[in-house]
Order: sequence, then C-alpha cells, then structure tokens
Amino acid sequence: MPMVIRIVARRLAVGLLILWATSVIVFVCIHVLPGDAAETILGKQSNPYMLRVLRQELGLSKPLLTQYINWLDNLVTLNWGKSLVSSLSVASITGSAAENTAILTGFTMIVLTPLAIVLGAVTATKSGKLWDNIASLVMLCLNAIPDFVVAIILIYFLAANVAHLFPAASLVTPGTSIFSQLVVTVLPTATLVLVLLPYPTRMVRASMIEVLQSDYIMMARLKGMPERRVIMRHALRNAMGPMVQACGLTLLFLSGGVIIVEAVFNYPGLGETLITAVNQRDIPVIQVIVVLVAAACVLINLISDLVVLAVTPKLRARL
Amino acid sequence: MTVATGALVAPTTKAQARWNQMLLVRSFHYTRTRTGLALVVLVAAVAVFGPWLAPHNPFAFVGAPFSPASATAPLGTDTLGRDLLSRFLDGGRTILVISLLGTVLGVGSGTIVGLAAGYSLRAVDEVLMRFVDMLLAFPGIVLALLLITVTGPNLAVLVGVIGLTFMPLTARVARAAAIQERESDYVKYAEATGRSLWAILTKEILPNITAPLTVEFGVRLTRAIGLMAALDYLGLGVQPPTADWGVMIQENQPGLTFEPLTVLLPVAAIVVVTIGINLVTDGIGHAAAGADRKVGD
Amino acid sequence: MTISLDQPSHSSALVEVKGLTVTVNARRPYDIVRGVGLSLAAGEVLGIVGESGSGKTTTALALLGFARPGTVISGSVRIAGTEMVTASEADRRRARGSLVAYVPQDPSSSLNPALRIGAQLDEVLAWRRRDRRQVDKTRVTELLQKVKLPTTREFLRRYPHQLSGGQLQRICIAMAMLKRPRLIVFDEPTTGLDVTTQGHVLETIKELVGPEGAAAVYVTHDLAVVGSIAGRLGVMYSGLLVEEAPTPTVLCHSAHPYSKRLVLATPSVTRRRELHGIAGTPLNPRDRHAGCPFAARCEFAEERCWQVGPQVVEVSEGHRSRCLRAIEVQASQAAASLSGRPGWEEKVATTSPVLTLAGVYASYGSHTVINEVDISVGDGECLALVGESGSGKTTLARCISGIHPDGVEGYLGFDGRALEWPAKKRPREALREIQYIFQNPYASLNPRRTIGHLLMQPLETFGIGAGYAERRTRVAQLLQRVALPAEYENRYPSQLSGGERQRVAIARALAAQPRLMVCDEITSSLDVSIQASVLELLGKLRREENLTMLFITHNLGLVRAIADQVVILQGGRIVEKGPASSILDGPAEQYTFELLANTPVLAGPVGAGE
Repeated sequence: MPMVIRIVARRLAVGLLILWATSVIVFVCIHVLPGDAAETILGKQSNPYMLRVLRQELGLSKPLLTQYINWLDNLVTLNWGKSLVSSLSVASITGSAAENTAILTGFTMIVLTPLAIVLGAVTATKSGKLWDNIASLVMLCLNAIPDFVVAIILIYFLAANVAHLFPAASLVTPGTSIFSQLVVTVLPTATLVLVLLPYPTRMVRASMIEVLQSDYIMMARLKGMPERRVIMRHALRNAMGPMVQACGLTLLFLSGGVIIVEAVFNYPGLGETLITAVNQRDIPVIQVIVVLVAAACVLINLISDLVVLAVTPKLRARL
Repeated sequence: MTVATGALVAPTTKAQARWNQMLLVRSFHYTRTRTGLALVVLVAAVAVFGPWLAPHNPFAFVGAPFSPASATAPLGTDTLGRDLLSRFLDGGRTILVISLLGTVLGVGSGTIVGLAAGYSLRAVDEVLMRFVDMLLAFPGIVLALLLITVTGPNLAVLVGVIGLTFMPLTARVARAAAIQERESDYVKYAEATGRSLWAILTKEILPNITAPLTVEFGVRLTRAIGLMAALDYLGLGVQPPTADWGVMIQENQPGLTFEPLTVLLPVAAIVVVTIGINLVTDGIGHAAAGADRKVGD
Repeated sequence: MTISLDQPSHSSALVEVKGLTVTVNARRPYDIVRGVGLSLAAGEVLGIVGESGSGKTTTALALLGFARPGTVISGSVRIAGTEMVTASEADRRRARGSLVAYVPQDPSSSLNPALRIGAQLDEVLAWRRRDRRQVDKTRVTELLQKVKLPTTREFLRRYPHQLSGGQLQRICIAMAMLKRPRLIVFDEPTTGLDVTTQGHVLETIKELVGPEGAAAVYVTHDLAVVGSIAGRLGVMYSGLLVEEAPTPTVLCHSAHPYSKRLVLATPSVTRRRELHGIAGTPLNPRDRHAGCPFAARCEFAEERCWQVGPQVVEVSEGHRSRCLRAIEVQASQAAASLSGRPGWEEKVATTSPVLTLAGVYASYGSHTVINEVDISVGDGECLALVGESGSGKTTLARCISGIHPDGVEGYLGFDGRALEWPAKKRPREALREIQYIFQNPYASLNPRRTIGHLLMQPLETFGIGAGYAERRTRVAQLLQRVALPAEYENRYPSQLSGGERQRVAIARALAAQPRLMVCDEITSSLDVSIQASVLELLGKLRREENLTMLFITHNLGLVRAIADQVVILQGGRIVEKGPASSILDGPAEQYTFELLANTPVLAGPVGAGE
C-alpha cells in the first residue's frame, strides 16, 4: 500500500523537521538571548576570571553556528555532559527520571482514557437530563481548580491530615525502581486524572452528541437495529476520530501538567528534575529535558494524526 | 424562536458591531452567563480595588503566625504573621493582569496568523502552520521554565510566554474557521464584486468567526490564570514577600491543617474567577450556536 | 380501492392509518401532523405530496412508528394487522425492516461513513453473531442484481464515500427490501439526484414494488415525479391531508384550492406556460386558528373558512377533499383568474450579443472541466444552461463572473469589449454589470449583516446613489420591488425563510443595476410554489429592466417555462444549443433525447396532448 506509506513518511519527515526546529529554539534561548550563558550559570557570584574559564569550557567564544553544530551533535549522540550541580552525568539523571515520568504518564492514561470515554458517552446519551447536568457541574468545578491545588487537596485528605492512606511525598530511594514502591504513584496519578478529566470527557460527549443526531444513526434505528448496537457499532465508530484527537491533546496537556504535579509531590520524574534544575540554573540538565519533552510532544502529535487517519476512512480518500 | 429585535432602529455601517452586541445581549438570556459574569466581576473587583481597601500593609507583621481571626486581623494571620485579609486583597492584580495581557497577546496574534493562513495560498498556509506546529511542541510551562532560566523571574517575559503558548492554539482555531468561511457563497459574492482582500478578511470573514474566537479567549484565559498561579507557587513568577495568591498558597501550605483559610482563600478566588469565565464563555457559545439556526422550514 | 376516514371499509387493506397525529412537546404543544387517515392495498403506490412544513416526512416516519425526539405519535397505524403506534418499542423495532421499511432522502448521509456497505446490508438480515452463519447471503446478491449494482466482494467492501449518489440510493432501496417488507416508505428518494439517475431509480422502484407484493408510500414535493409512479395521491398542507384521489384526478380535476395552485406552480416540460406562486406564506403551526390553515392564501376563502375547521368532503368515489367548498372548487376553471401579462416573454435577440464566449477552456489543477465552449447571449434574452452534475455548468457560470480560482482560457466578450477572466482584473463597470445569484440562499448572504446593510453594499461599492440618504431610499425601493416588507431592512438573514432570502439576493443583484444576471440554480432548493413566486418576480423584473439572463438549471421543465435559448452541457462540452422550444420539442442529440426521456411529464390539465 504505497499510499499509506507515503502519508506516514510525509508526516514523519515533517515531524523530524519540527523536532529540529525546536532544538534550534532551545539553543537560541539558552545561548543567544541576552544574558550570557556563563553569567547565567554563575549568577551573582561571577567574577571576570571565572567567567572566562567557564566561557572557555562551554566553548562560547566560537562562532554561533559552530556552537550550534557541536551542541546538536552532542545532543543526538547522547553525549549530554554532566550536571553543573551534582556532577552526575545528565544521561543517568534524565534516564531514571524519564522512566519514572513515563510510568506516571502511563498509569494516568490507562485510567483516564476509558474513564473519559465512558463518562463522555454516557452523559451524551443522557444529554440534558439530571446526571448530565450534575456531571457537567462537577467537571466545571474540577476544571477551575489549578493542578497544584488539586494535589494539595488530595494530600490534605488522603495523606497528611484527614487520613494517612498514601504518602504525601514520593520519597523514593535513588537508584531503586518505582515498581517496588508503586503506592507512591497513586496520589500523583489521581491528581493528574482529576485535573485532566474534564477536557476529553467534554470532547467525547460533544462528538457523541453530534454523531447521535446524524442521519445514519436515525437510519440504523429505522432499520430495526437495537439501541445498544446503534450506540456501540454505529455511533462509537464515528465518534472515534474526535476521541483520538482529544486523547492526543490530553497527552499534550499531560506533559505540561505532570511537571507541576511532580513538583508538589516531590516525585522523582523529569518535571521535578527540571524545576530543581531551573532553580539551580543547571543548564545541561535543563536543555536536555526541554528537548526531550518537545520531542515527546511532536511524537504525540504525529501518532495522534496518524491514528485519526486510520480511524476515519473518509479522510484517507482526500489524500 | 425569536431573536431579540426590540431596540434596532435603522441599519448603518455599524451593523457588525450590533450583531456582536446582539450576540452578547442574547447570551445574557442564559442564567449561566449572568452568573458567570457576576463571579468574574466580583473577583476582578477584589483584585483591582483590593489594595486600597486593605486595612494593613501586606508586608507588615501584625501578630503571631497562623493566629485565628481577631480585631486586628479580621481573617487571621499567615505563615509569617502578616494580615491575611490585606495580603489577599493585594494579591490578585498581578495574576489577573498578566494573564489577561498574555491572553490578549496570544489570541490576537493567533487570530492574525490563523486568518492569514486560512485565506492565503497553499504554500503560505503550509509554512505558517509548520511554524505553529513548532511552537505547539512546547507546553506552556516548559517554555516558561526555559525562558525563566535565562532571564530570571520576569513578569514581562511571562506575558510573552503566555502569548507564545496560546498563539498556535488560537491560530489553529482561527484557521479552521476561516477555511470554512472562505468557501461560503457570500465570500464568493464579495470576490465577484471586486472587494479587496483586506475588506473581505475584516468585514466579511472576521465577524463570522468571533463566536468561536471568543470562546477560545475564555478558555485560554483560564489556562493563563492557572499557569500564572502555578509559576507563582513554584517561586518562578512573583517573588515573595510580594503578596500574590499563588505565592500565598505555597507559603501557607504548612498551615493547611490548623488555619485552612490561609490557603483556601486564595484558592477560592482563583477557582471562582475561573468558573465565572467558563460560564460566560459557555453562555456565549450557546448563544452563537442558537443564532445560526434557520427559520423553520 | 375505497378510501375511508374512520373505519376501514375494505377489510383486506394492507395498510390502515386512522387519525394519525404527531404532537410536539413544547411548553404549548402543537401538532405537526393532524388526523391523517389513509389506506393501501398490496401492490399499490400512494404518493404523498407537500411542501416544507406540510408534515409529510413526519408522516412517513410515523408509518414506521418512529417519533423524532420531543414528539409523540397518537392515532393508529396498522400494517398487515400489526399496530405500530401503540406497540412496545421492542415490537416496533422488530417490525422495522421486516414489516415496514424506509428509504431515506439523502443516502450519502444516511449510510454510516465508517462501515463498509456490505456490512451495512448484512446487518439488516442478521445482526446477532449467532444468526450470521445461517443468513441467506443469496438474498443480498439477489437484490443487488435487481437494482443493477455489482455483486462482487470488492464492491461490497467499499465505503459509502466511494460510491455515487445514484449507487448509494440503490443500495438503500435494496437494503429496504431485504426482508420482504409489506410496506415500503420512500422519503423523497430522488431529491438531489441527476435527472438521468433519477430516471433509473424510479424505474427500479417500479420494477421492485409490484412483484414483491408490497405496498409503497412515496413522499415527495415534485408533482411530476410522483405522477409517474403513484396511482393515487395525497396532498398535505400544514399537517393536514387536504386531498386524496387517483393521480389524474388530483392533477386535472382537483377539488382543493391548494392542490390546484400546486399544479399551476409546477413547470411542465411539454408546454410552456405561466408559473404562478401562491400568495402569502405558510402558516406557522404555532399560529394556527380554528379554521382552515390555507384560508389566508386561498382565493376561494369565505368568512366561515376562518371559523370552522374544514371537514372531509367525499367529492366522488375515491376522491376526498378537506374543503368546505370542495365541489365548487372542482368545477371552477384552472388559471382563469390568473391571466395577465405573461411574465416570461419570449424574446429573439436582434442586436449584437451582450455576452460572448469563444473557445473557452477551464480547469481545476490538471483536470479540465470546460472543454471548448462557445456561447452567445443576446440582449434581453434568457439563456438556459442545462447539465447534470459534473457537466461544468456551475464552473462556467463562475468563470463568467470571475470567481473561478484556477486556469481559464478563451475569449470573453461583454457588450462588445473583451474582458479578463479573473474578477480582480476587470474594470469596476464590468463587475457591476454582471451580477451573480447563488443557489444556496442560506450561504450567499453574510449572516452577520442586516438585510439593509447587505443591500447597501453594492450601492456603496459601485457608487450608485449620491449619498447615504439617497441610498437608503433606494434600499427601501428595492425591498418593495421584490415584494418584501420594509421592516425587513433591520432583520438578519437567519430570520428570513429560504424564499425570502433568495428575494434579497435578487434585490442585491438588482441594486447594482446590472445588464446580465447569472442565476445559478437559484430555485433548486426552494419549494415548488416558492420557486414559482420567485420566477414570477424574476420575470417581471426582467421585463421592466430589460435584463439579460443566464439561467443555470438541471430542470428541463424550468427551461420550457422561461428560456429563449438553451445550451446543453455534458462533461464540459456543449452537446446541443439553440432555441429552447425547438430543442425541447425535437432534440437532435442522443444525450438531450435521454434527458427529456428521463424527465417525468406532468400529466395535468395542460400536459395531455395539446
């Protein structure tokens, strides 16, 4: 099927292009913006001698393009240098952190996706009635509470003050896998699920409502199909496209939200590492994490686009 | 199903303004819009006029930390013994102003980019949208963190960050709407009578997409407020000891058990204003959806 | 074939409908269908004719026991002994597809875009997995052959968007007949199909219904179509069944004022005659009064028509009418009171042509859409541009108006001067003199502008009228000329009906004081009587302003009614062109001949052998 391969290849190429462009942005932010990188790193303690040494070490005196090429080269070959604060290799720091964040993200999506689909579909079928209105109200309130506040509330009720069911902070011994201390992931996952639930639920609901009002659903009923079949086989199939898109966007929101939630719980993931690094101006760590996050976002967009295409036969024809 | 016609007198070239006015007027028919607007005005009033109404200087120490309500401190004191009420009244401006400015910047620039992309040639459209996709690769907070690393906590930078984060999302919405309208017959008619590109974009297409854009604006604004609050909480926005709702949540967190008001008050303010904005945009969205219904055939 | 109202006098009638009423659940409930009574025997086809708002589609759905959300059905619908209205939901579902089946109006939106058509056909026979093995696959093949569609596996694995409108409609017909239903309800199945395709679909229906021993109800707004397929007609207006009789009776000796006017508004392809609309607008169901809903628009209306609801009058055997003066109405001559100056005068151009196209080619990208077209339109003439979908007629119209986005080559002459193709490159005067009216009245007016502003636009653009005050006067005059109330100036398009919006579009074109009006299927989406009104108006304006018209349509009946010259397009090429009457009477080309053959003839008082 050359057509499909062509589409995928095109999207991949565009994705790579965007990825490269994001690397340029990161580089520009760090190295080109006012505030010399060396000064930024040393902060207020800088004196001309230290500045000169650091500049030398960072290769800041070379032309910009050379710097960029070196930087890009290091990035791609996983030669990420050492943390300015702890002198551990950036790769090892981000490696374990990335794994932890991936686990957290994975758990969140596993819980969130079916929940959103079911809630969205059910409220769509009961649109306008009592349960739908209650659900809408709850979602509205949930949406309004900032992520970190949800985290604090959960800590208050389930970890610190009212009950002590879960740990308030994710104190994981460095070097051990999260899987041995899964209880640590419960509250952060719960927070993320609650915070992210409103958006995809609303999208699924809206798309289902639109589908349920369409002519082909009426036709299916007029053919004598039982209601359950109408919903499961006819309606859901067509609502899938927008659902997948909603999932993709949720993942994108997730990549932002996970950072804050990790900070509140001290969960040893990429987010927490990033924030600590920002506070300490640990540039090698910062730039790697930012690029990783950007890469993940680009990948999510790409996969989401492709899945939508796969699920919507009509779109394939237009290409 | 009638549409409000009461106060219309004669058509003028301001008909477009009146349509938007009609949209807003019509959206007031819904209780939710009125409720939402009331909530927003309430919180905005607190934020704007609060500093003048504060009984004490928000930096001054008036009692022991986390003491309960008393004559000097009507709502108690915070983690360092400062008057909670004064700090609360003082703490809204920055968040709301920065969020608003950033959203205006983002939605404004996004509309321009989206319209341009939607109405031009394929090539221009592609280039613009790739640029937009590139920006979309950075979640707001990541971009904020990146820039703060370099510039330090800087409010002007935050406005820019919020703007940059929202521009691509708005551009997508604007572009989709523009593409849909572009194929409409009334646009073709404008082309057939030789109206300029600028006239078509601003006078024909733009009025028809204000509804989805207004909804976008509301949604973005709530996100901006959330982002600002989060950054303040992390100590990367407004710096303590300045009074700010996000900062207050963070610094009063230890006192959550015995003096919950110290945390809940700023939380409530943020939640109320967000709910208010959501209700208003919801109402506008409903009004817009109802407007395009055809007269019974 | 006796008809009854309250009791079935023919006990072997297959379908019995009594007092069918559909009510809308609003704060003040109102009926969209009131007290409809019908009966059908096996093998019979009953046509239900009505315009928008008549309740015909709602009645059609009610025959399957289907009520749209927010509505309630009451009364009785009995099919082969099974009562549909009071049955349980489960029973009704069982009946649908097996006892009574439905063929939808728009097949492209009525088939699930995400499922293959083979699957959608199969599930009618067996949707439970355990039934699937026993399913009679040959039935599907058998029906597909009957509707003349391929039966290959490849074809069945296609998705709806990969099939044409005609194919999709035939799939829907096959789908409806899979379980040998006793009653098939056709809901405007040929609307939106090309004339040729429509012909094929009608043939298919005729072939299938009789032999299968089923009865059929054919709902439509097109008298000509239904005349060719139904033995009896029922006419609906404002939720009431106002007349029921054998088809020729309704068409020639109608006993109801509305039916009479409907026939007069329907164009006939065999003879040129005046089309007359019906004065007034349809009654909003919420504004109903105690009397006859047609009273406000009826030329036979009396005092009592407003006070007393019309009862059913049995005019003769098999002919019922809901009119207090039914007998008189039947006796009165058609169109006696409607004579006057003919609206559409036939003109033969004597002076040099206003519009000339020579050697024109147009394309979309690499795809050639218009292939060597030569046309000339004389001063004051009405040229009809006829073609089916894909013929390029709309593309040609858009090229002439300068809004074709892609490549056009060839000569365009207007009033003796050569013109550039893109509108951007034309002088202002040329843009003013050629005005385009679009098909879709909902899309051609900016929804965010008042009518007054919309009419002001061309005045400002082309500098007509010296100053704001004078322009406003002109706007008021324009509204008057198109018979719209002055207060519409302040309204928005969404507050107007389709016919009214089209009048605004005409007024807008008129505002520019054009020489040439390009009308692109401007009445295709309008009801028959409204179409007649709009055409009446257009004819009058044409005469008063000596306008030249390029009228694009696929409806040969319209061509007969209004055109002086006709150009037949197929696949971007001109098949035939010349004086309209001679071509319609005796086409020279095979394609034209087929178009005419597939156009249903209105066998009415003016159709039969003149």
